[in-house]
Amino acid sequence: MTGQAMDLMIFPKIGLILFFGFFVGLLVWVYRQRGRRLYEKESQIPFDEAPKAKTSFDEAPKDEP
Amino acid sequence: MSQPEQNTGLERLTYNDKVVRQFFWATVLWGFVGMLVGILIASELANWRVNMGIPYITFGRIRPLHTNGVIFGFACNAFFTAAYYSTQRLVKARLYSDVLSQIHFWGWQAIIVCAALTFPQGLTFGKEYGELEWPIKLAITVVWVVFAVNYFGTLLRRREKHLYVSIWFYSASIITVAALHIVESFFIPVSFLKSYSMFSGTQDALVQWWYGHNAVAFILTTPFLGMMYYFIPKAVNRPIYSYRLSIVHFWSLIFVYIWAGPHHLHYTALPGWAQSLGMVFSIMLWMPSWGGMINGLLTLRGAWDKVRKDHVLKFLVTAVTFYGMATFEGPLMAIKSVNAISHYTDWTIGHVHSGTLGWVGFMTFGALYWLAPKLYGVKLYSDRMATTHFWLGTVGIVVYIVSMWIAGITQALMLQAVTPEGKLLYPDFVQTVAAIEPYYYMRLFGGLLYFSGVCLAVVNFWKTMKSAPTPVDETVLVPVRFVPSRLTDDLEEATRQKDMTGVVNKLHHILESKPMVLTALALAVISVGSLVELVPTFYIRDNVPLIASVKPYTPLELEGRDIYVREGCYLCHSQMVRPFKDEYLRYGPPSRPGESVYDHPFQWGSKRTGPDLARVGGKYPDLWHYRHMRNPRDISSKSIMPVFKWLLTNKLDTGLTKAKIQAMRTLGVPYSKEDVDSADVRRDRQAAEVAAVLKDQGNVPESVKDKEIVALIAYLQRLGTDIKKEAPQ
Repeated sequence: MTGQAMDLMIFPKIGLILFFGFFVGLLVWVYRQRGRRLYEKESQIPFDEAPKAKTSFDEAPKDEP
Repeated sequence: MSQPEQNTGLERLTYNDKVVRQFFWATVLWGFVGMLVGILIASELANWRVNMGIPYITFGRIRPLHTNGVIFGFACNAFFTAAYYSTQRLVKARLYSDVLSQIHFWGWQAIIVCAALTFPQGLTFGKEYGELEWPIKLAITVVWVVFAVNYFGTLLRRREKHLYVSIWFYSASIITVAALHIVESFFIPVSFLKSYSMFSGTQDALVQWWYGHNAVAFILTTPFLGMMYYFIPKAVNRPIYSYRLSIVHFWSLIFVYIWAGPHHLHYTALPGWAQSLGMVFSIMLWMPSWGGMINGLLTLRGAWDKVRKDHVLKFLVTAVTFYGMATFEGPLMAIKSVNAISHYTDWTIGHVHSGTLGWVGFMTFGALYWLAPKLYGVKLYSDRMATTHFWLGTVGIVVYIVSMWIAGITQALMLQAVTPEGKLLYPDFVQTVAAIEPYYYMRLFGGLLYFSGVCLAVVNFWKTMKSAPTPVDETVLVPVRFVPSRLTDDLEEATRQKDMTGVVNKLHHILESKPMVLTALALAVISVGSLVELVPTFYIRDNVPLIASVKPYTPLELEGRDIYVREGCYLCHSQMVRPFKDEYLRYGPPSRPGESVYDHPFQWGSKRTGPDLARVGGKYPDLWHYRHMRNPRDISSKSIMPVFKWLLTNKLDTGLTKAKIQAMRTLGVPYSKEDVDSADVRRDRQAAEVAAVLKDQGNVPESVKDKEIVALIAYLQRLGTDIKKEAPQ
């Protein structure tokens, strides 16, 4: 068997085994959640904004109209 | 920059919005410039006269200016704008360093300016999307490291323990782009502005498309997915549809994307196993891509009515829709039998632009329209202008991509057509070009529509800024700095938590509070596909068998090759005959890996606006090439190739010939010491021979012998001739 033929046997298989292992693992993991919402708190992070502080700009006297 | 607030346990902190505003305007500026250059090159393809015979604006030189301008100028600045704005708010921390922020901003803009100065002069590394010459590549490395330090430094100083999904995408982009840029840039310098790729032929092709495809992934996709996960929930005011899906989306996308590069090299001289991997993983990539699209679109569940009124949502939702369409089309085109039609044609150009104009462009403008009022503290100048921008852009994209689909498929089918006797139905390549020329005008029209929308955005943003008082950076009250916990404490806490079930969930929950571990893991994930594809191609000789009759270029041919690269000929002409009947009939036997082993960089190309040149050597007399460069219409009346008349008058720069041969020798090209020493003499001798032939064939003055055209003719006449000397097997 030539080196090239050996490459053809080995490397694609390594890649595919890694891929399917990874993908199947993810599918199993997703399936095991069974519809529960587990990440409610994390998904709210963009809305959990720090309260605005008053700055000297806000406190400066405004021109009367 | 933070001060304790009395009796509240909170600190006052001011976000660095100054640099966000700077990047905002850089995005607008380079978007305008990059797309304007796009309009120019689209005009040049529609009508060759637009090249005007000026070397600095000829298609081959400024096409890289368009691609680099929109990728590194527009898209990267959009990424920096969004990442700096959203990350500060997501982690409740000011950017790590004001100095690094300013170095990042000005350094990056200087790089784009350098690109704008060097490309029109033909200073190029010769590899698509990585054309910048080595000093600028080094500058990119430095500025990117500054960005990484500034970004990860911010994460380490955060006040929010948990890292939101957008930050994973930003982090993975930063680390992967660094890896891609470093590997793609391996060069050997010849002079201050000239270098050669350390890779050659097949290996260079694989590295190039590993880089090129993943530049699409990690510059044009993952940063914008990070933006999607932040701006869509914010704009629609509801959380992302499924956070769990975002976890699957993130890991599967970055893992699978990195393998798909070889689909750019189907039916080429790349080893078959690599092509198969590229195809299989490209098809698999469809699923994580659509997982992300579904997650983005379903975030609008119950709120679709808002899209009608809100121009920001119009842009964002349409961007995600184009993402879905482009990521369906991509895997389709990666199937080998489809690729046999689509590759080298305008279909690819249409596909790219549905992603860039639709996904990247609209996601960016959606984010910019959302940001402008917040960064300047006033209402957007005109909602109506923004809505008009949206419709001009949408119609423009559709016109653009439809014209390219028709042009690509038409040309591919014409090129493949044979008569019942088995002869080519359209033997002249130019016949197919003439057939699709109307669609080049149609593409130009689509591009103009899109660009006119961009012009409206520029005015709208400018007026918004002008209507605002002096902008003030946002000051907020944040919790005291988050102290990173130990892994054991995290595990203990995860075990206690009742609402977080399952080992994987608990581990991922911990991972999301460890930015450096998460980034290192992302790097490990992208390394798997990279190593499995790259390492065997480099270390197993059988993948690129040598051909005894293939010899290195002569000094004059090497100079001619550099001119070929300088003028961007590879952007319109491939040097790769695929194993198809029509290509055999038109060009000759299929290309083999051993034929390009001395090509630093490889010249296989990615698009055929003109015919393949892999076997052009000896096909025409020297005088034919001379006249063709002077005016292609003298040879082929319907040709759309620009004139290259300056090659007939420019004196060949001979100052670096020896250094070039020496550089090639260092890279392993089998030149002897004597070859290096005698390079100048051999170059001049061959130039005199070519000049004599030109005089003989067409009474061309002998003074042509020291002109660039002679070197280019020598190179072109060499292409594909070595293989003909091979002993019959």
